[in-house]
Amino acid sequence: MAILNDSAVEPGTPPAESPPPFVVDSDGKVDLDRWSGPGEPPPDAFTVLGLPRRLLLDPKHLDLRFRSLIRDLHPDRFHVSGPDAVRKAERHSSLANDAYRALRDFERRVRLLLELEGHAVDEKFRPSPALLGQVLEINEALDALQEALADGAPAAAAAARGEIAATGRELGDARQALSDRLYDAARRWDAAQAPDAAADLASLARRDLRAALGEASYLDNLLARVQAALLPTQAPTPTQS
Amino acid sequence: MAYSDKVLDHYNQPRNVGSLSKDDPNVGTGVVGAPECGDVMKLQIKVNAQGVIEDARFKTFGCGSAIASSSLATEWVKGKTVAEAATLRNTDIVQELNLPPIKIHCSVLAEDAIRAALADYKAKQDAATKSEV
Amino acid sequence: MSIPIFSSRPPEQRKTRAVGIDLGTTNSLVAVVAEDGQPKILLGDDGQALVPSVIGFEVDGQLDVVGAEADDHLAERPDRTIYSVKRMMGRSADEVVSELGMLPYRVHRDDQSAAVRIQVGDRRYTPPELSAFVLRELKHRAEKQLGQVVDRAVITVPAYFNDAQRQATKDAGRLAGLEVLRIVNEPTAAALAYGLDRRPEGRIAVYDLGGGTFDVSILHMHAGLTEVLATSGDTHLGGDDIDQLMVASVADQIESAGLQVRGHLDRVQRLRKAMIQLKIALSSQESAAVKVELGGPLPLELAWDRADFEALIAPLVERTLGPCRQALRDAGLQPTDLDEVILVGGSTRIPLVRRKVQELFGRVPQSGIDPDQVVALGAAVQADIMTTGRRDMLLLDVTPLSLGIETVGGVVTKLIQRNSPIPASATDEFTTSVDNQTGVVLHVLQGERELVKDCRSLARFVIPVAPLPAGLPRVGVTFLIDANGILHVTGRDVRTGQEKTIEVKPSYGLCDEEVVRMLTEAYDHAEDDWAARQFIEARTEAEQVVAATEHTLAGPAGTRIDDEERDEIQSRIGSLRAAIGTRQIDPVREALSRLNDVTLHLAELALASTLNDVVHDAKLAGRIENDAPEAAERLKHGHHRPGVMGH
Repeated sequence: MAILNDSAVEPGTPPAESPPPFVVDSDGKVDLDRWSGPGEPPPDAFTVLGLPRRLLLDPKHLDLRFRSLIRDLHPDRFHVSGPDAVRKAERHSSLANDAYRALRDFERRVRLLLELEGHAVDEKFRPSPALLGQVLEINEALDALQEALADGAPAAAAAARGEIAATGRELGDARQALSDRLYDAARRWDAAQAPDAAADLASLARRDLRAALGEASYLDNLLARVQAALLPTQAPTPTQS
Repeated sequence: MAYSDKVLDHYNQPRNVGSLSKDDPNVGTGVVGAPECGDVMKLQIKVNAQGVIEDARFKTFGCGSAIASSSLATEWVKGKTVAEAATLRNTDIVQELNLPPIKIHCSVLAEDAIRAALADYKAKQDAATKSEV
Repeated sequence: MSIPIFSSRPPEQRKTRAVGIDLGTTNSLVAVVAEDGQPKILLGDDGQALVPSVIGFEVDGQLDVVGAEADDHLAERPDRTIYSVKRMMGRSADEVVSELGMLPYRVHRDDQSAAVRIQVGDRRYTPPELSAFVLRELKHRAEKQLGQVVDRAVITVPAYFNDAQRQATKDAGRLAGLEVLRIVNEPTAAALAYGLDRRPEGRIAVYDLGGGTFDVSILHMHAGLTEVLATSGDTHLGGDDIDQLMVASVADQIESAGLQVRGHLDRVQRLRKAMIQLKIALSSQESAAVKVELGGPLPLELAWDRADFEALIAPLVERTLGPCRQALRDAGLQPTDLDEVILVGGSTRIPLVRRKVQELFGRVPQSGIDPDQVVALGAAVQADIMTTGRRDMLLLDVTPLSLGIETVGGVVTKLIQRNSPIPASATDEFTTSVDNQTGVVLHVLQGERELVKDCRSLARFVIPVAPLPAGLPRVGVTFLIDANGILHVTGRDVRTGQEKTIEVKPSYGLCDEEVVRMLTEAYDHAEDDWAARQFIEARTEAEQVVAATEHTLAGPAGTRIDDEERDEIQSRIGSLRAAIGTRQIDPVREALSRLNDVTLHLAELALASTLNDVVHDAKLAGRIENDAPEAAERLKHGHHRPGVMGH
């Protein structure tokens, strides 16, 4: 998850070239009748927050936009105005919350923008045989670890952990390389949005983004399991009680 | 969404879990993965001299639907000829297991795994035939 | 211009107050934001801030007493003195069974709903009903202290409470005659209290180890905005568990010496109280001893070193660290990124807890505001934010648990991820799998695990659809988690656009009819409340009339009445004061009306004198020569009869 760094931002400074947020009317006032609810398709996250459709957003601008919007939209503000206003505020503030959540993570933002542009992540993407081999290996080692733990066989467990860690490191390196590829493609995509940019630059960047994203999510699932298996103290996953 | 007993059955007691020797020329191995959910599926078939699949094994790491889909797939291909197995479609699995739209990709994965295994088997056979010649 | 008629405040201003309530496992508190803008705890007649969350019943199951007095009877009346109700809120009887070992009262499983019922005498109570008794006690305390009706409250819950537990808390508030303005997470409330107090900026961790639950939240505070980044916890880890561990360990020793403890409810309770004493003493001393009377030949003396105590509880404290790491991970932060760590909850007074927290976060934790009080204070701040419309502070919370629906294979497909800022929403579309199906069944779950059996079932409901071939119906379902963390569902037929709100029946909670039934059952209490409220209103009015009358008597109008009239007025003021002392509404009304009878003349004089001033001023200014007498006439005979109360 991207880490926000907003300590230096003063409230009230709007991002430079942004349109006004969706729920703000032309007088700069919040309009709680802007969106009628689930029956009407909700505006996209960029529109909700009033941010340009770019992949590399300044996190400070994003935070600023969200915070100033939510200060005006949060249902707590409308309790004095009655239940109807609260319901509308709930609806509109959930839009703002969801938009913020979608945009503040870089890779989620890429995914979202591709979808908005009509290019969902490549469903046809199939991991390379080499990668799949690694995946099987790691899964088998994870199973072996579980078995060893259940049987109370520390030596076997240690061996399995060693194997998981080794493959995990390789996968981690691959993931880092993917992030770099994504950032690079994102920069190129943003640049291709300039009016004078060549059309094929955008589609080239887009192809790279889609491919990298597909691989990234695949690796993430795997890495999460690796991480869980290697935690020093087997911290329990939060469970329901 | 009520589940058919078949899904629960396959999910709770998957059939044909395990591995066959990868180096056996009569064994075809298919490894496929779904990027959407991180599932990985290994499906193996063993073909006898008559071209009939006499054994099938799988190992799937993934969600319940993926496990049920691959378990069902191994049951179905067993006893079929290579040609018959190639006609198996993911929609058959969807129908049999009553998979919801969100889990259709699991059945696609199973179909892909069968195809990959068949292709691997053919490649091995072709190589063997060539070396015999 | 101001007219000294004997009126009370303008009617549009609400006369009732909103408070903040910390409804705790062991103790509860109520607080309010005072006129100076600072939150303060409302104390009881005994001068105590804490109300033990203990409810005492008569033998027949009728309510006897709530709070400290009930707590005092724990040992003598173990089977009809109920405590730790919070641990049963919104949970199934089966879940609660694991804790039955040490509970001296009878817990039942409702056959129909699998929910918990607590049996006292021949009555069975639900956990929300029991919590409502505590809430009602707090409401009365607040009303007494404030001299105003209290009918709205912000109530806190552990951040890690699920939907059913939140809903149960809200139901309890309703049953206690409170409009629940908001359910707020305890660590977040604590942060609000600190926010008002010191206006910290930056990233803060709140470590909240209470009587029955553990929470940890990572927040970002910035210019009055309190934004929760991540939260985690364990709803079954707290001071109670420490007590139980101590009791179990001592009970083993005593039983091996030949005195049976388990199975003797009174002995268990005496032991529990002694252990709590010991625990508290060991927070400030290296060793401590308590005497406990268990019915043996001699009182037993139990002496513990802090080292023994720490060795015993270390595994429990260790269990809090996992959720801390998880919350940091979810917030995308390292311990070094934090600017402050705040301790909340009585159990954080234990030195071992402080040491472990310091080790994990790498900094000395703060507890500048009393850790027992900080949550209630923060709740009062939130109540103030919501009822006054103040805009300098705002709380942005998150949902602690992911929300999903059941899909094939008993798998949970997540729709809203944990730690999403709330309100949050998600929309999904569903269809049928069989021809001519008349409904789609949705099973909503909360939790982080993959499989349905590992998550908490929130609700199951049917979305009706027109019978069509399989796959043709399209039902759009929108899940909205409101600012209280409570789920609302709307369904929509995508083809017709027809929308309907789906009633979500919480799996172990109360449905609306049940709440209504309980409210009716509690009618006797409701009547008490109503009477109390009427009395408070009448008293407020009476006090205002007395003040206004006395003010007028001292003014120019007062010089124009004779002594007899003056004496009569003063005597009736005396009677009214005496009537207020009876705390009965009828005498107050009676005395008030008798006072009004003799102040009419005084009121008219006061009005006339004011009007003379007005006319005089106007003449001086050379205006409204003709309007003034008319205005005087209107005021004299007008609708506004001075000094008469509305009832």
